[in-house]
Amino acid sequence: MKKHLLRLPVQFILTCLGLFLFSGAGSLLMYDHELVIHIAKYLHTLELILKDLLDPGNILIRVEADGKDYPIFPMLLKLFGYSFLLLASAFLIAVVSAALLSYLSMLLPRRAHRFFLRILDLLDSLPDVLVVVILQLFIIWLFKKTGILFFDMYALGEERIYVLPIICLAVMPIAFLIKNFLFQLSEEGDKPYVEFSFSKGFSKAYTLWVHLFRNVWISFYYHMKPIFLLMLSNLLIIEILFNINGFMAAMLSVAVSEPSAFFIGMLMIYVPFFILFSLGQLFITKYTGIHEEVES
Amino acid sequence: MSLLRSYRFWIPLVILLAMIIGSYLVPILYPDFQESGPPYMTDEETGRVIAAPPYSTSEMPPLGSDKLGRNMFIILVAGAKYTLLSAIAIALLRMAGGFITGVLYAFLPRWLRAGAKGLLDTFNFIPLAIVVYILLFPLQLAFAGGSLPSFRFLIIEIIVISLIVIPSLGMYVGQGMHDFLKQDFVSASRTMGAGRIQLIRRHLWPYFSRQSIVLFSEQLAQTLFLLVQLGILHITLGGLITENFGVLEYIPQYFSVTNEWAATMSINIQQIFNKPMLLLAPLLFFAVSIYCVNQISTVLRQVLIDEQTIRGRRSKKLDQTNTVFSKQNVEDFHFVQGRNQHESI
Repeated sequence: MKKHLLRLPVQFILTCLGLFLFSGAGSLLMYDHELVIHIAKYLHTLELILKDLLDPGNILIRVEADGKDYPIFPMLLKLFGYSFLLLASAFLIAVVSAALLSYLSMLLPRRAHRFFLRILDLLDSLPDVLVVVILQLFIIWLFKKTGILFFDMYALGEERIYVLPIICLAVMPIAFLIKNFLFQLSEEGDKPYVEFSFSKGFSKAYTLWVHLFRNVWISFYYHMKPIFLLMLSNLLIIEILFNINGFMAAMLSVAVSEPSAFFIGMLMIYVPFFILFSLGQLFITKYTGIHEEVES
Repeated sequence: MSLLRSYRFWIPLVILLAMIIGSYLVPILYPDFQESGPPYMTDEETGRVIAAPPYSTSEMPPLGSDKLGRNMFIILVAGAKYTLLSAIAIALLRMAGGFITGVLYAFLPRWLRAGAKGLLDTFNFIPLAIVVYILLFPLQLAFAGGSLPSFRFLIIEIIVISLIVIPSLGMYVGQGMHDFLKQDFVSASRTMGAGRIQLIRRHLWPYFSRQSIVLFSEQLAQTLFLLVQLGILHITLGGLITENFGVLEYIPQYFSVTNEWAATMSINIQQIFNKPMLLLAPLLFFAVSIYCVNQISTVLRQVLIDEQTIRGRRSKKLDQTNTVFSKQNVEDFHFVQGRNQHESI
C-alpha cells in the first residue's frame, strides 16, 4: 500500500515529462528533398516551450472563429469549461444507458441476446464520423418533415450549442461501453458467489443487479483510461463537425502553431483526470481491499 | 477446420478482396475515370439541361457523382487499393514493431519498466488523430507546396502512422508476455538453463504468433477508424492538393491524387448538407470494410483461441502449448485487444 502511494507522484512526473517531450514533436519531421528528422529544431522548440512557460501570460492563442489572438489564460479556461461540460454530461448519459442496456440484454432469452450482440457488432463498426453525420442529417430530415428544428445543430461564431453534441458524444461510445460491460459481466458470471446466490434461490435479475454489477463497476473503473481517450477523440471530431469553438478544436490548432499552449492544454486535461483517478483508486483500495492492478 | 466452412469468414474476406482487385481493374476498364464527367445532363425528349454536377444518385447510379461529374462509385472503388492496402501495411508494421518492443519490454528490469510505463502513459491522454496530425502537418504543407511527391508522402505516412502506436502496443504486448513468462513451465525451462534467445524462440514467439492474426485484424479496423478521423483533419494518404478559389478570403478547395476514401470524404466535407451522398458514400465504404474486418476477427478468435481451449482440455496429453490457453491468457489478450481497438483512436 505504501509503496503504491509512493509510485503515484513518480508516475505523475513521468507522464508530465512525456507530455512535455511530445508537445515539441511538431518540429521533428521536415521535408527538404528528402525526409529530415530535425533533432536540433526539436530541441530548440523544447527550449522555447520552457521559456514560454516562465511567463505563461504572454502566450497567445488564435481562435479560429474570429481569427483574433487572445492571451491563453481566460480564453483556454473558458473553452475548457464548455467542452468538459459536454464531455462530462455525455459520459454520464453514456455510462448509465450502457449499464442499463447491458443489464437488460443479460435478462433477454439466449437467442435474443445473441441477436443483440450482432447488432452491437454492427454498431461498433460504424466510424464515429458517420454516426455524427447521420444524426445531423436525421435532424435536418425531421426539420423538413415537421418544420420544427429540434436542436440547434451548427454553432455560428460565439454561439454555444448543447443538446445535439451531447447526444452525439453519448451515442458514439455506447457500443464500446456495452461490450465492455458484457465482457466483464461474463467474467464475473463464472465466479462461485454467483452460483451460490442462484442456489439460494435469488433470481437472475436480482443477482445480476445487486451482486454482479457491484463488482463490474470496480473493474469498469480500472478500465476508464481507454474510455476517456475514446471520448476525447470523439469530442474533437464533434467540435469540428459542429463547428464548435471548443477546447479540443483549439488544441488542434495550437498543436502546430503554439507548442507551449499545447503543453499547457494537455496538462489541463491530464492533471484533473489524474487527481480524480488516483483519489478513486485510493478510495476503492481502502473500502474494498481490492488492489486490482490492471496495468502493472 | 471449421474456419474454412464458415460463411461468416468467407463472405467478408471475399468482399474485401473484391474491392482491392476491383480497384486494380478500374484503370483498365475505365481508363479516363480520373477525367471530369459530362458537364451537364440534358433531357432526352426536350433537350433541355436538367442536371449539373454533382449529380444525384438517380442521375448517375449507383452513388451519384462528385463536383467534377465523376462517377462516385468508380472513384471509390479505384481508391480502395490505397486505403485498404495502406491499412494492411500499417497493421503489419505495427505487429512487427509490437513484437520487438514487446520482447524488449518483457525483459526490461523492473524499475525501467515502471519508468517506461509512466512516460508512455502520455499517449493515453492525447487522441491519436492529434498525434499524427502534429507529426504530419509540416509534411502536408510540403506536399501542398509541391516539393513532396505524392507516393513518397504516402510511404512516409504509412511509416509514421504505424510507428506512433508501437510504444503503447509494445507495452501491452510486452505486459502479456511478461505475465506469460511467469508460468510454471517457463520457469522450469529457465532452471534447465534456457537463455533469453531460447525463451523467445520456444515460448514467446509461439505465444505471440497464435494471437497475432487476431491482433492483426484488430489493428486493421483501428487503422481504418483512424484514417476517417484524419480525413476530417485534412490529413489523408497521398496528400491533398490545395487550391484557393476564394477571391477576397481564403476558401480552400482540396483535390486528391490517390482518390483514397478518406480523401474523398475530406474533399466533400463542406457539402454535407446539400449533397449528403458525397460524404456518406465514402463513409459507407469504410463502415463496410470495418464490419468485414471485425467479422473476420470474431471468427478467427473463436477458431484460434476459444476452440483450441476446448481441444486442449479434451486431450489427455496436456503439453505446454495447451496450458498456454489457460483462461488467464485469453483474458490478457482481450484486454490488449479492447484497448487497441478503441483507445488509440
